[in-house]
Parts: sequence; C-alpha cells; structure tokens
Amino acid sequence: MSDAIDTTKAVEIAEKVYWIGFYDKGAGFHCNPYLIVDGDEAVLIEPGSVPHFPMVLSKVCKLIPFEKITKILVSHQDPDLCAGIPRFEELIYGCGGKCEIVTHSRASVLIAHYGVRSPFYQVDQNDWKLTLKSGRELTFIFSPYLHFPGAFMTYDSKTKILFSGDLFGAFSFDWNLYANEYYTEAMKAFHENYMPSNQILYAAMEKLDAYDIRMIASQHGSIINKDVKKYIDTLRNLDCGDYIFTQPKD
Amino acid sequence: MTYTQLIELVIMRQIGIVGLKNTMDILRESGLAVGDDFRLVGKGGHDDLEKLMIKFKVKYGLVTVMGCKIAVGRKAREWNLALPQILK
Repeated sequence: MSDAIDTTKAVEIAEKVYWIGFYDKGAGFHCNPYLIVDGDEAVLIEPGSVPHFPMVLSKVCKLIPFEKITKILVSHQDPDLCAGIPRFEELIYGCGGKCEIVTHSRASVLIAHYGVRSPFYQVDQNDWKLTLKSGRELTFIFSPYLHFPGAFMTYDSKTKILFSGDLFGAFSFDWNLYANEYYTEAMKAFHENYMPSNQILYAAMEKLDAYDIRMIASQHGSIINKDVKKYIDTLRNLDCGDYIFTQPKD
Repeated sequence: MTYTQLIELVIMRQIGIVGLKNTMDILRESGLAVGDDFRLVGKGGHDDLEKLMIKFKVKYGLVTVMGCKIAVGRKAREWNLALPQILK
C-alpha cells in the first residue's frame, strides 16, 4: 500500500459516505464495503464476508448506532459481500431496529440461503430506484451477467458516486484506496477473468454514458476518483472471458 | 510478434497487480531488465516467459497467473506462439 490514507479508520469518500473496509495485506482480492449515512437512516453497501465482519463492524459502530441501518444493499449474492449479513441483522434487530435487503430478485432467491431474516426490496420490482426518507434517490443500473445474471450498479445522485459492484474491480496485491496510474492493468486482469464477454460489458458501459459520475466505488480493488471516463472506455473496449478461445481465429 | 512482447504484456499486468517495485524485484531475480518505458532490454524467449510466471506465482500466488492468462493466451493464439504450461 503506497497512499498515505489511514485505512485503519473509516474513510469519508464523499459527504457522509464512508469506505468501511480494511487493508487486507497479502490478499490479491480486496473487498470494499461502504456506508451511506442519510439523516436518521443508513444504507450498508456490500457488507462483506464472515471473516471480514469484525473489521467492518469496528468501523460501523464508530459511525452510527446499528438501528440506524435500514437498508443493506448487495449487488449480487456472492459470499464475499453477503455472508456477513446475518451477523449485522443480529445487531440491528437486537437494538430494536429493522431493515430491508436491497437486491435483484434473481439474487434474492440465493441470498435467502444465508439464513437472512429481513424482507427483500427487489430493485427490478421497484422501478429500479429507492427513495430514502430524506427524498434522496438511489438509482439502480442493470448490468446483467456482469458477472451474475441479476447484477446491478447503484448511482447516488446526491454525491454522484457509482457503487459499481464487481464492475471496475481489480486484482490488487499492491492495494491503494484510490486507483493509481497502474490501476487500468489490474482492472483489465480482473474483468478478463470474471466478466463473460465484450458484448455484454459494452452494453453496460453504454448505459453509464447517461450519468454524471464523479467517483466509482467498486466492491473489489480501488476507488476511482479521477478520469472516470477513461476507465469506462477501457472496459467498453475490453475483450474478456474465456469464450475468446472457442471462437474461430480471424 | 514475439515472446518479448508477451513478456512485456506480463510486466505491465504485474505492475498493475503486485505493484511497480515488486515487479522490478521479480524481474531482477529473473535476470531480466527493462528500460524506462518498461520495454525489455534484449530479447526474451519461451523459457524466460515461463520462469517469470513461475516466480510471480511462487511469490504472490495464482492471482498473478490468472491476471495474465487470458490476455497472453489471446495474443499467443493470434501469433501462433506456444504457451508454457503455467499459462495454458
């Protein structure tokens, strides 16, 4: 790690939006949970796995009381972002709170197997948006098959942050909270392995052109806080997936 | 297109994944040198590519192999270059 940010604490990446992950030294695959605090409620985004739970918890509890978490937002059903949900639910409900799990219906049927107790708010059944009590709107951008059939990204119009799920993630032994000049290569390496094809990736990147994005906060790798368009264009043009090897040569 | 270019592709990938300093350390251990533009000084061959990938795998694990496999495989296929076992 070479940037000088203190990642032992929560990092405020925009007004009342926090990165609540940790520096996972030696891991090639970093996970990034986030927290949006909005008035008297909070949205926990991609909360993390069971082994990561104590580190994420230690940051959440310094920011808000647990009952303030009214939404747990997960872009898909993988254990690295979902397995810790039941542990957070114990704390939220134990404090007299309650919450909803915000995800796609295709993911909700699988997330149920983690033993969660909260009802689902299915983004595809709710006009692809969620309005918080304050009126703040989160817009969901469907990114099917990237890499899960029900994957989606979340755009926060207040801060102009795109919470991109696995998209824009990277392999990163030399991890930094914010993307450095070599991030493009690490990002390409991740997408070649985990995303199915250029055609599918291209379609998702085209959708992003309609949004004014200031920052991309992905679930893996580093946060992109400058040259956003450059990274979108890189993925728009990236040939990815093993299918390449089954195609006839030109 | 040659193995030298495949090695240069690996070098750029690994700078992204394990970082500049760690990549340069591995290159030194492998007896390979690069210029300021990260181009290989001299030529590299099939065995250099294999040795380099093994060194990254041993020190940093499989993610470093995964990170190169598809990009290198695609170029090798295009140019009819045989790949070392570690990249197959």
